[in-house]
Amino acid sequence: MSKTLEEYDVVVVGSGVAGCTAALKATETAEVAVVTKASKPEDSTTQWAQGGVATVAPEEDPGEFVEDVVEASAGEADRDRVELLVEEGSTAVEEFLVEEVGVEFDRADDGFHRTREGGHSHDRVIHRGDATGEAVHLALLDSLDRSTVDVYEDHTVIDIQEGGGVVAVDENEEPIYLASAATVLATGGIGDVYGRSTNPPGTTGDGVAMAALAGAEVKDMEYVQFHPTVHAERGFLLSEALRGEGALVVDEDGDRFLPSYHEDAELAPRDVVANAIYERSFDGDVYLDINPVMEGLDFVEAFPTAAENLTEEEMESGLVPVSPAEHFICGGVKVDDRGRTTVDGLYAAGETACTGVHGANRLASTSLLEGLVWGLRTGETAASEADDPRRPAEVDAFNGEMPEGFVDSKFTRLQETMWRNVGLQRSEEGLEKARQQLQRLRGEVRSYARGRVDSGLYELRNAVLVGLLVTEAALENEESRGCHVRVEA
Amino acid sequence: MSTTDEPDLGLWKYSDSLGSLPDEYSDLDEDERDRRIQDAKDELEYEVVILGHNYQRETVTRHADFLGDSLELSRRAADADAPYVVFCGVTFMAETADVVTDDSQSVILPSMEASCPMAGMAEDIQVDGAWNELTSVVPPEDVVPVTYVNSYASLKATTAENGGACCTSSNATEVFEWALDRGEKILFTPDRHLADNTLHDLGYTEDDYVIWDPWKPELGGNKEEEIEDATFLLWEGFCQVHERFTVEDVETTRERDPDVNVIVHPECRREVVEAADISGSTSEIIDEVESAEPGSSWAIGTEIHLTKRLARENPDKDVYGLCADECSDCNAMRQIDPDFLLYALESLVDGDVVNEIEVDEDDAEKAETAIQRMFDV
Ligand SMILES: Cc1cc2nc3c(=O)[nH]c(=O)nc-3n(C[C@H](O)[C@H](O)[C@H](O)COP(=O)(O)OP(=O)(O)OC[C@H]3O[C@@H](n4cnc5c(N)ncnc54)[C@H](O)[C@@H]3O)c2cc1C
Repeated sequence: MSKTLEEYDVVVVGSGVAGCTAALKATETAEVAVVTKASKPEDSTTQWAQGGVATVAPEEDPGEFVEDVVEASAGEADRDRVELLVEEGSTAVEEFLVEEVGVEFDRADDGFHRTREGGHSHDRVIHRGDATGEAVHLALLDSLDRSTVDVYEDHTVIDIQEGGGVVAVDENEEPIYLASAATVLATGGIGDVYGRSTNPPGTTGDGVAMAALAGAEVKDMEYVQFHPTVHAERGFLLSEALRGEGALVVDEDGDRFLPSYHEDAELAPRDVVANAIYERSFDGDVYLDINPVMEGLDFVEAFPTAAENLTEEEMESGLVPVSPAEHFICGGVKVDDRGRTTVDGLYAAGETACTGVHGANRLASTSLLEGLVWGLRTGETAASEADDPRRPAEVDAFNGEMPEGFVDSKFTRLQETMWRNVGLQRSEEGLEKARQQLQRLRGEVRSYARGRVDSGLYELRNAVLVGLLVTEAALENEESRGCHVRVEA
Repeated sequence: MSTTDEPDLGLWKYSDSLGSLPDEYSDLDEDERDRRIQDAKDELEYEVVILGHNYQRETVTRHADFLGDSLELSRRAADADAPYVVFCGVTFMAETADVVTDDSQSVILPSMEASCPMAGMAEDIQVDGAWNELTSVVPPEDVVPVTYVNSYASLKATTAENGGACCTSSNATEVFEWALDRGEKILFTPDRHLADNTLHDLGYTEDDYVIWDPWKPELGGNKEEEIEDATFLLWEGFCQVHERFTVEDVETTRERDPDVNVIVHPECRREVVEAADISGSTSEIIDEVESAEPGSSWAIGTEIHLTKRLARENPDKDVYGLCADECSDCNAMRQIDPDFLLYALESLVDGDVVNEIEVDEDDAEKAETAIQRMFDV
C-alpha cells in the first residue's frame, strides 16, 4: 500500500503565510517539504486577508503598539511575546517580505502608506489596496516555487506521528508517507467547525486536532473571534473599514440599534458589534447600510473587492444583509517563543498556534504579522533541531463502506451545535448540551476513521475534536473576557 | 488463532480519550484496577448494578452483574432496585435503559463517546424530514414506521408519534407482520440489512423494497412511482461491523473446515445470510452454540468479543470468528474500557454521578410507547 516514501528534515503542513515563511526559512539549512491541501491560492485564509499588516508607525514608540495589542487582548496577552512580535515585526516585513519575497506594499512619499484600524492608536497598517493577503500570499508562493522546497499540493495530511513522519492522502485519496525529523503545523484556522465563517472552505482545524491527538497541549481555545459583518448569504467579509467610513448597521425597519449597546456605536470594538448583531439576528435580518460611504467617496475605487462581490441590486439599494461569522481562533497549539509545541519534534505556527500574543482577543491586522514572525522563528528552529528523519507507520484501512453523505450531514450537525451553543454567547446549559452531542458525534465518527482512509472523514474527525476542545475550554472558563462571552441560559 | 485471548486492537496510536478520562485513570495496572473496581462495588453494594453487553471485552464483562443483549439488559435495569445503573454498552442502549427505569434511577455510560455509528445514520431530524417528504406522495396512514431498537431515543419517539413500533433482531418478523396488518408500507430505520433479511423471511423479494438514502436530494433517491410500488422503504444505514462479513469469508471458512456450521447475525448483508447455515440474534447464536454437540465446529458472524466469549465458555467445541479479529471489532463498544468503568464507579463512591444519560422527558415517554407496542405484538 505504501506509495512513495520521501525523506525530509522538515515537513511543513500548510501553505499560508506561516507555512510558506517557515519553509522558506528552513530551506536555508535543511531539506524541506511543504504538504498542503490547497490546490489554489484561494484555499488558504492568507489569500483573503484584506486590511493589511500592522507594524510600528514611524512617529511612535514601539511600546505604544505593545500596549494596544495587550489592551485588545483584555489583558490576557503574554507581554514578552507581544514585545517580540512588535520588535521583530518591522524587520520581518522589511527584510523578508519586501526585500527577499518582493511584496510591493502601497507607498506614500516618506515610506509605506499606512491606515488606521479599530483598536490602533496610530496609523500602522501597511497594505496593498484592499487585497493585501493576496499580494503577500502570491509573492510567498512564487518564492516557494523558485526555492529548493518540494511542494505537495492537493495533499491532505491525515496523521502526524510521534517523533516524526506524516501521512497524507493525495487528490485520489491514495496515502503517501513522508519521513521527517521535524514537523511544522501551519494549517490555519477552524472556520468549518462553525460553518458560518470568513475562512475558505476546508478550514477544519486539522493542525490543532492532530497536535492534540499527538499529546500536545492546546491553549485558549475558548477565544474564538467572530467577525461582526459578513455577507449573510455569500460568506465574504465586509471590511470594518466600511464602518470606519460611515456605514451603518440597521435592522429590517432600517433603524440603527448599535447606539444602545455602546457609545461608539458602529465603531465599537468588534466583539461588541458582533454580539449585538448576533442577538438581533434572532429577531430578523440585519443589514449594513453603505449609502453613507457611497455619498462620501468613490466606493468602487475605495473598496474594489467589496464592490466586486456585491450584486447590482445591493449596490443600488446600499443595503447588504449581514451576520457575524467565525473569523479567527486566538488560541491553538501552545508554542514557545521558537514555535516548539510541548511534543518533541513537533512545531506550530500561524493561526494554528497559540503564541500568547492575542490573549482573549486579537487586535486587527496582527495575524499575518504573527505568521510572519513566528514562521521565521519556527522554520529556523525546526531546521536546526531536526535530527534523523523517521518513517511513519502505515495507516490501517479496511476501507469498509460508509454512506456517501455521512461526512456532510455530520458536518452540518457539528456546525449547528457549535453555532447555537458555542457561538458568540455561551451558557453553561448550552455548553453542557453541546459537549454531550459532540462526544456522541466523536464516537460515531471515530468508528469510521479507524478503518478508512478518506480525507473528508479525517477532516470531520478533526473538526469535531476541535469543537469539543473549544466547548470544554468555554465550560471551564466561567468568566466573560475578550471574545469569550458567558451568559445565563 | 487463539480463542481465549482478548483481541488487542488498539489501532489508535495515541491516547484518544482527551479530556473525558482524568489522567490518574489511564495506564493503571490490571490487578490494581480490578481490585479498585471490586472495592468500589463492595462499598456501593446494592446501590449499583453493572450491566455488560455481549459485545464488551472480557476485562469489562468480568465485573458485570448481568450480561446480555441490549433489551435483556434494559429489562434487568428496570427490574433492579439499584439507584445507579452502570451500562457498559453504547449510547442508545443506555438511553433505552433510562427510558424503562424509573425517575429515581440514574443510568451511567462509562464513556460518553461510546456511540453507535449505525444509530447515528438515522437522526430524528433526518427521519422527520424524510417522513414529511414521503407522506407528501403517499397517504400517511398507509405507512407504518418501524425502528430497530439500535437507534436513538428521539427516533423511537418520532416512530411512536407516527404510529409505529420498535423491533429487535429476534422479533423483527412479528413486528413486520403487525405493521403490514395496519398499513401498506413499512419505513424501516436504521438498518437496511436487518430489514432486507426480515422481508425475505416473510417471502418478499428485492422487488418489494427501495432504499431510502437520506443524503440524496429527492425522495431518498427514488422516483415517485418506485415509492408507490414498494412495500418496504429501507433507510440507508448499516452496522459497519456486520457489513464487513462477505460471502468469500463463508466460502474460505468452509473450504478449510468442511463440517463447520456458519451462523451469522441478521445485520449481515443478505447474500451472507443466504450463504450461511443459520442466522440469528445474539441470544439465538448463544443458544445454538451452547446446545450444540460436543466436537462440533462453529464459525460466528458477529462482533468478535461475543465469539471469544462463546469459545471460552464452550471449550468442548471449536468456536471461532468468520473473519479476522480486527474486521469484526466494534469500535464504539471498545470505547468502554475498564479504566472508564473504574472512573465511573469511584466517582459514585465519592457521591459524583459522571456521564449520566438523561433522555428528554417527552422523548422518553414516546419512546417507551414504541417499545411497549413491540412487547404487545
Ligand atoms: C476575510 C479575512 C480577512 C483577514 N484580514 C486580515 C488582515 O487584514 N490582516 C491580518 O493580519 N489578518 C487578517 N486575517 C487573518 C489572517 O488572514 C489569517 O489568520 C492568516 O492568514 C492565517 O495564516 P496561516 O498561514 O496560519 O493559515 P492559512 O493561510 O489558512 O493557511 C493554512 C494552510 O494549511 C493548509 N492545510 C490545512 N489543513 C491541512 C492538512 N490537513 N494537510 C495539508 N494542508 C493543510 C491549507 O490548505 C492552507 O494552505 C483575515 C482573515 C480573513 C478570513
